[in-house]
Amino acid sequence: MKYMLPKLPKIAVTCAALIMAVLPAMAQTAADAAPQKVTSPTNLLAYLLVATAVILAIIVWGLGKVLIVMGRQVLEKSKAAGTAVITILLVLMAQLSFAQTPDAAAPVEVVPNYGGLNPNEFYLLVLVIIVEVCAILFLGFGIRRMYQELLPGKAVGEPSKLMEWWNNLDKKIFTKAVPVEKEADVLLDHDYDGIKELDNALPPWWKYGFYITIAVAFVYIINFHVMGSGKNPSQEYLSEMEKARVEKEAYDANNKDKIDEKNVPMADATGIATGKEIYGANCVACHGKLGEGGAGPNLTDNFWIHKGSLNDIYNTLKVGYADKGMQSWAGKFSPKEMSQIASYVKTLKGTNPPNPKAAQGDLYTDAPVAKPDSVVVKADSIAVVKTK
Amino acid sequence: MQVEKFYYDNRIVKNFAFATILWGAVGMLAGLWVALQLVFPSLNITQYGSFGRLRPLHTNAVIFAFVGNGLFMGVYYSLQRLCKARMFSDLLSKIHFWGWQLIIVAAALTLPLGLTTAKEYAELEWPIDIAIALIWVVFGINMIGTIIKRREKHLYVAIWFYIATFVTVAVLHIVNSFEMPVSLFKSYSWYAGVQDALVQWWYGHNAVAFFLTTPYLGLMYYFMPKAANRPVFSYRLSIIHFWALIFLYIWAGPHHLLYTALPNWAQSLGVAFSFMLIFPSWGGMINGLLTLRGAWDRVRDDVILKFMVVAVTAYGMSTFEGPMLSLKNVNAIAHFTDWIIAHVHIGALGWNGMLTFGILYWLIPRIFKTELYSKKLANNHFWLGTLGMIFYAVPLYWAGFTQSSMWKQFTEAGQLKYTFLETVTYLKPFYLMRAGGGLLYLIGVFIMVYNIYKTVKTGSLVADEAAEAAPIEKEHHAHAGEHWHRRLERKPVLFMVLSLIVILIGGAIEMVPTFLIKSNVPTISSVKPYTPLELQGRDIYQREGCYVCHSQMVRPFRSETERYGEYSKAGEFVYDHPFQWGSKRTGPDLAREGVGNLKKTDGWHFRHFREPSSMSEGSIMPAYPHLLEQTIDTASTEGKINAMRTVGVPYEKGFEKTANAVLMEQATSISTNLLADSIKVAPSREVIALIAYMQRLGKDISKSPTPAQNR
Repeated sequence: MKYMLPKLPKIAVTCAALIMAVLPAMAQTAADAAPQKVTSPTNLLAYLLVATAVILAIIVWGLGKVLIVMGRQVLEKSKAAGTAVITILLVLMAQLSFAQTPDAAAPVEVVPNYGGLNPNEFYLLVLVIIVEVCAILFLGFGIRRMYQELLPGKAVGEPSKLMEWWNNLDKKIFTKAVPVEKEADVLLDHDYDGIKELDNALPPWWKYGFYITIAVAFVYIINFHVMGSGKNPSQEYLSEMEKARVEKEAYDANNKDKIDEKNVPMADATGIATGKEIYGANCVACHGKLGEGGAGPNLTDNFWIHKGSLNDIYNTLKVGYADKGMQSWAGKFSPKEMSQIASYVKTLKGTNPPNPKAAQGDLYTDAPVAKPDSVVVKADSIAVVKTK
Repeated sequence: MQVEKFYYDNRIVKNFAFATILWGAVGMLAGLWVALQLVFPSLNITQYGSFGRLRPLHTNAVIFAFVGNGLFMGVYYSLQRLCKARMFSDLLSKIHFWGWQLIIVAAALTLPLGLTTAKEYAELEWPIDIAIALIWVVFGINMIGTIIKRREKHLYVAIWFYIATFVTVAVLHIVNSFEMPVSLFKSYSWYAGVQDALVQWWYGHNAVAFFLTTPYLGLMYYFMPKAANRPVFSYRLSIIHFWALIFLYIWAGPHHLLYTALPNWAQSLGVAFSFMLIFPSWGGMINGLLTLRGAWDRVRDDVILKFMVVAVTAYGMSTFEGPMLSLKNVNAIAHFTDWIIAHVHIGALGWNGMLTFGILYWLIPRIFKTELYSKKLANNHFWLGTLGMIFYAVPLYWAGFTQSSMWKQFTEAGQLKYTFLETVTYLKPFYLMRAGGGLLYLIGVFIMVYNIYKTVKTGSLVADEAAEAAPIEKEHHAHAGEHWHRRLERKPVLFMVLSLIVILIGGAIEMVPTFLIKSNVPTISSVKPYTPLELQGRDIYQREGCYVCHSQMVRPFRSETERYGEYSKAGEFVYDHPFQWGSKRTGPDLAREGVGNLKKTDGWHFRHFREPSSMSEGSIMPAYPHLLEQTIDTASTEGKINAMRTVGVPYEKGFEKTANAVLMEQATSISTNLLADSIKVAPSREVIALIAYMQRLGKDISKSPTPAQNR
């Protein structure tokens, strides 16, 4: 172990530096994702994680204090002895770990402001906890070393109570092995090309662990296939879908902007800009960057395969025409978003992009009632296009 | 008793050692290349170098060429010494060595050519399968022969593992490779759909168990006590963990098929037996690590022991992770993601890689009667290997977990939050980091190549190493209080038969009912055989290795049925020889590609095959321009229909004669369809067949009024 010691602080410095570099970036991403909706069950998880992180931070802080105090004692003690280098390193190590504590804990206090638990926050919390656990192990190790340094006279051959307790535990639960010094007692007369074998007993934790897994396996099979009390995959699926249906109903009941294919409002300039953005990310593959068409039909002419009113376009987006290659987007976009896409598509009419695809479908003209609406929109849309 | 003089054959050990080094470097280089292809799709150079063909090359090279030669090296070295006898036959040793290398070369040629059975880790076509079986038997005869003429009365635990390896791999390989040849380089799996999946993963899982694990445990039992110069910790533990391991392992295959259309009872057996595997696996790890009791002070100085300790620890980690991944709720997250890739690489890079390196550093100086050229370089190799492994695995664990949760997230309005493509582009940085980890590991390997080259130059091979031992006494007087297992260790043939019985039980209980009891695969009347054009398209799908990145198995989760459509039913796959469920979703699932919301136009598919990123910006799929040039191999249609009929697909009698006319008719209609989309392509082009297959996927069940439930 002594061999390892000089290396440890270096590793600690690197780790700390890395963490320092990563944490602000992660906090930033978490902040970007801030306007996430809050749901109660995930909040519980967030609270649990934060609480764990805080408790661990306190432990780290406490251990750091202990280590510093011990470090000073060791330093005083070793002034007489010649082991100054190692002890100073030990103290340094202790302070490093201590210095790390407040930084590691800092983001924890910020997290509750976000309330919910998106992936970034989750990872951040988990990372913090991992760092803290590492720090605790690290500090624990340091304290143990210090403790050994401080032992009166470093009594050799006189096992401490701790060691005695450990050996006892080792014998009862862990290896149950015959000590190395006495291993001649269990050396079998086997000799294979110089390899000998000991007749140590099975380690108890191993043996009982094996029994437990066998018992669990039996219970598992009985639960699912004899008692029938466990859910099989299709039953799991049904209950998952039922839960989703209930949640969706609750959401719809609270959802103010009721939009459906019979009532699609023309979006305002911002809405059309959103529609354009969605179009750019999802529709250009088939309909072209400017709506000129490609695998899918031209959206800028007056010809429509499934009619061209705002409601019709919305309906096409919603139900899709799978046989013609138009997928349904209702699973991907909310009614509001689909109305924004439809509104944007409406603005493309007559823009005459280069390389247009030949007309498909029937000539469609908007009903006169819709006219004043679309005129207003056109003005809007030009503004949008121009500003971009 | 008269002491006999004899010689150990070190030349064969040297040959296998050099082969493992060579193929290891080649296989890992291929791995690095395919890892980079996932970040830079432009590295898919020509059809012969595309990801779908090179990834099987990487896995086959690492498993069968690197680890395969590594295990033969270790077995040939240790078996002779543990039996106090030269190998049974020098001729068989030579046939074994050169035969195996020829198989590897054949694999390296056929896989890039697209000659594949499309069954993971068993991709090689039927003539090579036969060669593998023959060479494996040669190895078996040579091994058993050596054991029979041994001068050591009892078989050491390493040899138990070698025997189990030999019998089980033989059974696995032969059963899984049952296939119906169409031509010299094309065959169809004898099994279909669910049955094929069960056989394949029974094989696939136990290839891990009996090719990557048991022989290497044997090597650990020889080389670790040798290198540490310590007695093995517990003889009793060896016995119990050996028998428990080989008995339980064989049942665990179905854990690769959780939440699929495999019958539920088989899935549950897979879960239960995988869980029970933790402790038998760990038995090997602790027996190895506790053997080092009293030698730990040497571990920090002795680089060979360091390699071995990391190897055994990696073994412990991955055999704990494996059972955890077999739990259904964990599997629901990890399956189809990079988590699994990370998991298997802990096993491959850590357990197999590090142990092989440790053994090489120990054994090469010994057979060349010299010292290792540089301990410092070996030490550098050790650190590069260990760090490389960590830098490889951590980004992939992160990537797998993240992608899975992205797949499963819904907005409050009940809609999927991310498109599949978004989850892919998110992973690119992780893929790059993983490639970096792999590069570190590979640099370590090249340092080893140099170090071993220098070592070999300073020494000279002791081709025949003198040894002496007395022959076994004919009569045996068992002394009082001897362990009952000792009797078995004196009877190699009985031992072999017993281990064969033990490994046959699990496989038989899982597979026989699936084949015999009809209700395990409820039939769906609307499911019909593929048309000749679709069949040709399906063969192209396999040739290009599409199954490497695309699954065809919608699991019963809301996040999957919303994304892909109705979950997959066992009855849908009854004509799928071989099944194409896949094991990884680098791209989206394709089981419902031809219906519902996923259906695309022929033109979309055409453009997508020509240049995927033109239809999906940021896609990492390779382009397939050669499909637009190459002609469908209509000469093979008749043979393919006949072969399919032989394995049980109900094509009408005489259909093979008219099949090509039917094929042309369908191809022409697709070609006309494309023309309407201003795409001019002859009906005879391969892309037409592949489009036909894409449009067929999922179609049958969508016609069925009440789809059957999975059992």
